[in-house]
Amino acid sequence: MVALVLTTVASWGIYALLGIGIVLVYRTSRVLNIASGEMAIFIGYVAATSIQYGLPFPVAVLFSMGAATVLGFVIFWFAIRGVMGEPPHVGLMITVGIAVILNGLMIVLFGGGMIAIPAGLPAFTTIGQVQLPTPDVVATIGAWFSIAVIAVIYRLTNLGLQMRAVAERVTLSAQRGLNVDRTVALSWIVGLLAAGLAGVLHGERSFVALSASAIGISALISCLIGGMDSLKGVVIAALIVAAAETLTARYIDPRYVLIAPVAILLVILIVRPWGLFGTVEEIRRV
Amino acid sequence: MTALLEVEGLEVVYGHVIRAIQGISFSVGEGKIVGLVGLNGAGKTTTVRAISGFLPTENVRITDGRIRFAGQSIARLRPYQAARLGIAFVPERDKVFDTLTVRENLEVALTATTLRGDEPGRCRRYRSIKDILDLFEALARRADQLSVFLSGGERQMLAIGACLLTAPRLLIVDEASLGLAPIMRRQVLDMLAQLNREFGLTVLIVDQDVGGVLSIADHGYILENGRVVFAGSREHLLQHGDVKEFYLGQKEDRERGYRDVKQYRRVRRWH
Ligand SMILES: Nc1ncnc2c1ncn2[C@@H]1O[C@H](COP(=O)(O)OP(=O)(O)OP(=O)(O)O)[C@@H](O)[C@H]1O
Ligand SMILES: [Mg+2]
Repeated sequence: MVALVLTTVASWGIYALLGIGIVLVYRTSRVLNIASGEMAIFIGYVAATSIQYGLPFPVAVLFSMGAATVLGFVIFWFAIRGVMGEPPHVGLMITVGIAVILNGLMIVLFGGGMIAIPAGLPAFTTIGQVQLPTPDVVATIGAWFSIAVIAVIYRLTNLGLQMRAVAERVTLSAQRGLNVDRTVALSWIVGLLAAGLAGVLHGERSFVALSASAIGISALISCLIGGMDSLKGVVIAALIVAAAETLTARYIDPRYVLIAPVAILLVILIVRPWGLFGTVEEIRRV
Repeated sequence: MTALLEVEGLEVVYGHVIRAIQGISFSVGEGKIVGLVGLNGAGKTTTVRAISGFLPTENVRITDGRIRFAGQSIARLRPYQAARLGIAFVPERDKVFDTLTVRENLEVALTATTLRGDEPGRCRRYRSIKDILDLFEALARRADQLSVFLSGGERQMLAIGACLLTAPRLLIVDEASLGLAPIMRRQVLDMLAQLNREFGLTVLIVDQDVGGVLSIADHGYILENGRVVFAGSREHLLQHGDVKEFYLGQKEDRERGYRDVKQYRRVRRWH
């Protein structure tokens, strides 16, 4: 039972982290990132491959975060910068293209097979009386710590303030002296760091593989349920998605895992099309 | 001595077709208050937006003319670059961040621009959020509320306050008195005049209220259909018969019919 809760909390953290990345870049650049799952697993492959080359787990994670930073900047500079201000479907199509490219790169560069990202720790952690699977413990701590860091950046730092300003009014931000391109680029870098870390943690508790990009769909559904408005919304919605998936896998059939969140999404889109926490105005603006 | 801001033969086109500004020239001397007035659609907003800079994503281009600020050509600068040179801009609409608190609004302005520039003429009187909250009591009372709850006058104060934190050398206010009660309107104008008097802040003020603007401006330019139709010192404009009749609503002795007005406008437009 405790293990089941922990599994849910770990998935929750990973989806929330990935979802926060999606919301962040959506808010600053109005681009709905369909490719977050591919981005996550691509960075996961970077970590997995560096471990295969003999790097210890923490160093491999750092290295993969460096790769995420570069990838975030490259994606912003070559793909996003030009489409800011265009209608939303343009940005969305761009990210579909990015997903296809990343898929191809994962096959060419990493073979596209199933690779684990071993943290090099014992299989079980004993806390008091209970034995918990270490990979889930690591994923939970890693994901929630990162979420806290991003939340603090977003709410309390100058960078976060500038991101919120750009999210609301691009022109006014620029008129007040903000270099909007720089702020949006940084938000894509933070978004890629979040996605990459989610991919690494997912690989650490199971494995990376082309099919693992499906975590992006769970995260996207969390975002749509939560409304693209707030980080809080996506975190709460990610719990709903993670719980639905865990329960489906446990009590119905693991093959139906993706159906549960989609069903919830459909119900929510019918009842509250702007999401649980989004504002109506937000949808109109899009 | 050359002026702080010089606009020469400015031409601005929206979406490749609409020539909103058709060769406007004017200048703003350092330490002066200059008014840009005219009726709806005259091109006032387009002119000042061109000075503060368009975003590359906007469907509008400067197709001709020069804009010089402190001797430097700025026609191609992005808005944030113009802001960092000391051009502070209060737009007509969307002048505050609704989803941020009053304090955060001021913080954005404070952190976005550095006060490094040591050019003379930059107004450095206001350096901290507290300075602005002391200046506007109404804002101090609402410092931690979301700006979406502010009234029109409070928004104007917040926008001007944010601009003052960027150490402006030129403050451009579009529609300084739009939607304000007459008494608030007077207060905003008086405040701009006071900033100008006490700190030598150069102000370019845009308004439809010709009388109000001319009460504080040293110079005025009246725009119509993307052209300057009248220009001159305050005294000159206030004395001018046509300005009196058509923009200040004061009748000359001789009555003029609608036909006269139309004919007059046509002549003015193609002069
Ligand atoms: N985004 C736009 N796209 C196309 N045309 C525009 C746009 N904005 C303004 N125009 C046109 O440019 C001309 C000048 O508009 P502008 O907003 O500069 O006038 P204004 O003097 O500020 O008017 P107001 O007093 O109503 O604010 C108008 O004819 C308007 O139709
Ligand atoms: Mg206007």
